[in-house]
Amino acid sequence: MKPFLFLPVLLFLIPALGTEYALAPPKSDLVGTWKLISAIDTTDKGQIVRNVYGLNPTGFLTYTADGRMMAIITDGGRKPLSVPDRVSAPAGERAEAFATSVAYGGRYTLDGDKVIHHVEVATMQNVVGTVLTKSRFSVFQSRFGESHCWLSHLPFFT
Amino acid sequence: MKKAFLLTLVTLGAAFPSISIAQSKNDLVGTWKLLSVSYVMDNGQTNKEPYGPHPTGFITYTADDRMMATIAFDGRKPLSVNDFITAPAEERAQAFSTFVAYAGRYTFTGDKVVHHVEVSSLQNLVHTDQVRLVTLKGDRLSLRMPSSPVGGVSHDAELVFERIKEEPAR
Repeated sequence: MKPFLFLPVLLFLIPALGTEYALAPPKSDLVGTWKLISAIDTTDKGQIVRNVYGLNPTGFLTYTADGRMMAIITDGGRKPLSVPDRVSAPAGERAEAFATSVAYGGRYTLDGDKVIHHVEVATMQNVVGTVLTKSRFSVFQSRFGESHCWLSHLPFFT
Repeated sequence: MKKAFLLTLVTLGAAFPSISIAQSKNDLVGTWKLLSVSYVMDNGQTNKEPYGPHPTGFITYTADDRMMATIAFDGRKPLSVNDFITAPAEERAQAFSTFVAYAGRYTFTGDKVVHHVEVSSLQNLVHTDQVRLVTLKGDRLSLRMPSSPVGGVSHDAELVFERIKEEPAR
């Protein structure tokens, strides 16, 4: 189970090699583009589900200095459509492609140890106009339980 | 004679600053909101609203050469099941056809921008270079994409964006 709501979750700042922040970081720490390293889900029964987006998922999360954010994640091992066209490809392939990718964008604000995504556009229309609140410490309650993603800042990984 | 030539150059430069000053990457950096999409088909017909009258979309270019874009058609409906995996297949297929997102590096050469795609809702785009012809006028950005096949019909597409000026996050 891969709940949409936990996708763009917050970050674990790998560059500092394990250094955690006791308080919400200044905005400048957040601004930039982050590459997804791994995504882990914790169910409401406390079970840890690893590789939520399959092995080697691909994902990026961008925060800009002027308060905008955008995120996209696709499952590892995703196949190209047999017809390279999002409209005329077979419906079964499109349905599968939809279930293996998430993306959204909007404004973001900071509130203590949380970053709040004010969603304006999303693959899943249901979350447009909603507010997604993510814990600074990369763990938060989703409807399936606690979830988090680990992301690293790109300059440290390229 | 030489003086006159120089004078002409300077005058031209003052009158048409866009001629003398090439568009720099800084002009592109920021977040842009989609205003309109239009297609010109191979047969000359135009489609002014291929994504519906009011599509929603954003494209962000960062100073460190990354880009990300998300675009949704107008009139998209929420899934009947609030879950992008277990929702009915036909709803997922429809939702997929009415959304485009991708991200990667970009290079900007003044009149065109190349998106080096690293992740995309449409997997076929991953590891491709998407070339867009750029026109920048103040807060307006036009991206033109020659001959892209969507729905089995080849067309030229133009996307027009407006720069977003947001209050900084607090």
